[in-house]
Amino acid sequence: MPQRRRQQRILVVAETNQLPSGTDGLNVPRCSEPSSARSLHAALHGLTSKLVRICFDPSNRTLKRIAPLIHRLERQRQDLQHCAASVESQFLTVGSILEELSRLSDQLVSQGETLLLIATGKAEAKAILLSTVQIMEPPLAFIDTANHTFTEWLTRFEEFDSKIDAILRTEHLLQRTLAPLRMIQTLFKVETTTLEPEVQRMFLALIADIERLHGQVTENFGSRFKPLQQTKEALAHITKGLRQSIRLNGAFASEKRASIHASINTLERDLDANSKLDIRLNQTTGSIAKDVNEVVVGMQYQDITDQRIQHVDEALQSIRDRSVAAGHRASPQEKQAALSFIHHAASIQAAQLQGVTKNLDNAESQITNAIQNILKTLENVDAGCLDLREFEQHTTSSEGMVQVLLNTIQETRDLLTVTTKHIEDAHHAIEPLGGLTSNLTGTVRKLSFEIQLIGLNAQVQAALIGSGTGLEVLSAHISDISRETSRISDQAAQELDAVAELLREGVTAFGALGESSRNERSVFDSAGKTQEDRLHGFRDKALQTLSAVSELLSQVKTKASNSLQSIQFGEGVMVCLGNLERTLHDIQETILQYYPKEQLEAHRDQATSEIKRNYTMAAEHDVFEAASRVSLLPKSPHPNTATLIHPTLPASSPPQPSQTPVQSPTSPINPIATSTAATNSALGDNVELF
Amino acid sequence: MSKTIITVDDAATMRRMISFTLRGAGHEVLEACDGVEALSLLRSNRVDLIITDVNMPRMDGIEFTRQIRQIPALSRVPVLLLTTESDPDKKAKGKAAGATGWIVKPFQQDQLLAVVARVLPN
Repeated sequence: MPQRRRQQRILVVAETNQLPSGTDGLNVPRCSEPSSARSLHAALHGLTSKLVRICFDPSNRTLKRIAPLIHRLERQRQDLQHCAASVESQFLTVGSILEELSRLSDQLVSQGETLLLIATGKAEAKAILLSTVQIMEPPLAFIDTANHTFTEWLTRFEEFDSKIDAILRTEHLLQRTLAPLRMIQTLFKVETTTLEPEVQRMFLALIADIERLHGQVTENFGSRFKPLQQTKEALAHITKGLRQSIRLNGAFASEKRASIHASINTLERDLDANSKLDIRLNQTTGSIAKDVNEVVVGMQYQDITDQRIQHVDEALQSIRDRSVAAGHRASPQEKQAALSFIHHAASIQAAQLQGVTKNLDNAESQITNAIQNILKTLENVDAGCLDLREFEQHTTSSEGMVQVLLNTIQETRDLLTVTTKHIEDAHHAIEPLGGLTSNLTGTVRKLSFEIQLIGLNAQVQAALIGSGTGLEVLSAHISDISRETSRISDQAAQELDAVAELLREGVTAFGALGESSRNERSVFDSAGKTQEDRLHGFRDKALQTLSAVSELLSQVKTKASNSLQSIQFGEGVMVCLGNLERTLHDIQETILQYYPKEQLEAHRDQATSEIKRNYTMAAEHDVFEAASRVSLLPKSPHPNTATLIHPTLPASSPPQPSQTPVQSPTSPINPIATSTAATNSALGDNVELF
Repeated sequence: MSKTIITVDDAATMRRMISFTLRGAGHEVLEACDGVEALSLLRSNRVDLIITDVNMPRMDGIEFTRQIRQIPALSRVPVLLLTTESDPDKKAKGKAAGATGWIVKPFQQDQLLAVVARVLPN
């Protein structure tokens, strides 16, 4: 039954077709011719032949068989247009991601450069740290000087203390020396009772002088020398302060010098190590630029594939139009030519669709690989920043170099203040002592002189009375006591002179040291403040940059990771392309069922010459030539197809050099490009400047 | 030195990639989706270079170049045709229309910038 229905349909088709006579064997006699058995037989034979040819004409059967496929093709063609629009939208999304990624990467690299300028000392870091060390040297040197002065004066004050002790011991010596005078007074009184009143009065006057001398010794050493004891105590307090300063200053200067030295050494090591990171960051910048270029190249395949799809679309419309035209009153030859065209066009379009699929696949891989490479590069930057965290420790942590220097500045300032106070205290304590000892020296010298006068007077009086008396012996004793007393007093006076001299020197020395200390503190207060501000600024900038790098790294990595999920051009369009390709294969197969390949080949040149008009794109040449076996001369360059496709490169392969497009080893040379190779070779084979 | 460049392409992706590349090099970029829109923009904007696609709706790149060369103010502005086409006949038409150069897509960023630097007036 289906067979009969098909035959009926074929008959209808045959009746409606206007086949040209003489070409299809239908030149049968018309009804107007004589009706004879012979002619009837001939007519019937002719009609039968015609019916047989109509019924078994492969063109009609093929056209009928491919009609639903052409309908399917039409529907799928429309689907492909939607898919192409969808692909464009996806590419534009990737374009936005690329711009954002590139912007963030640029910022990251810029911040990384700033960080490295800080970390390698190419910015002002080294200058700041070294100038900090420089401004520390004068106060540290002053502290050393003060310490030296303190040590020297500590020794002298200890001598001073011994001298005061000796002076204070003088009182006891004098009292002991003068003690016999009491008894001599009594003996004088006894011896003079028998003498004349005149002589008696004279000796009584001498006794009164001796009494007064006792009084003076007691008064001077008992009361006026008392402040010497206080001076001694004051000096003890001063020397205690000086010892404390010596201990603090000595430790401070040596510790700070060692600490600063260690910091500078650390800085040198850091700067050296960070210089290597500088090179790495420069490589990173270059690497990211290459990968961004890879994305840019991959992105351009949207336009290339879109145009290829448009060319396929135009070819599919031609297939449809040729199919429809062949179904309407075409001769068998025309039908065969149309089917040959459809067959070859389908073959070429199927290859084109494979090319589009490959383009999209490769664009996706190229963009994905490039973004993955960017991610890897950023991981390296991250690792580099891990190294830089050591720098962060040195610059920003509480134990870091900057903080050490800030602490040293503050401690030096404090120590200068304390040292200045110790110097001023010592100066204030010594200054009044000079006057005190001067007064005492005069008193002691006067006392010594008076004792000598009493002794002399006693000798004179004894000589006047005559020898052989007891008074002469007593006078001689007085004279001896006077000499001894004078010697002791002179010695005390000399001691006091020495002490006075020492105190004057001390007053002068501590006065000058106090002046220097105040000046040093004033200069350091100002310079230290400026340096603290610079150190704070340096640390703040390092912190901000480290923070910015960290934040940008995080953003870029997130953006790059998210973008990888957006780059999937395949899903919808690949289905469309696959469906179309299958339909085109079905059409080809269907045609081949009815026509031997050789028969189709007879029309190949005609078919391909029609089709090749569209194939002016470099990307299409190989595909067209392979599918049609027709050469598109003159040959065009294929830098774009070669550039895009790196099928042998694994995902982790480094990006290819991007200075010039990568050309396939088998790609032909563009004759036009090579004609101007002298001027354009540096620009690439896909560039020609007129 | 920053220059003003107009890029004319019906493919938004291409316009985006060209602008991205040129802006990255510090140039100002104007965008048009075909020759008609580009001519309209060029009436009110001075440019140092024109980069145009060939196959575009309404007015293609070759016709656009031809018209550019007839405008006195633009007659000496370099025109680069950046296209998927590598057909010698089309290239010859582009040259005859007054184009300065022909670049087959896809371009490499360094390459495009090198060509731009070469053709831009000093």
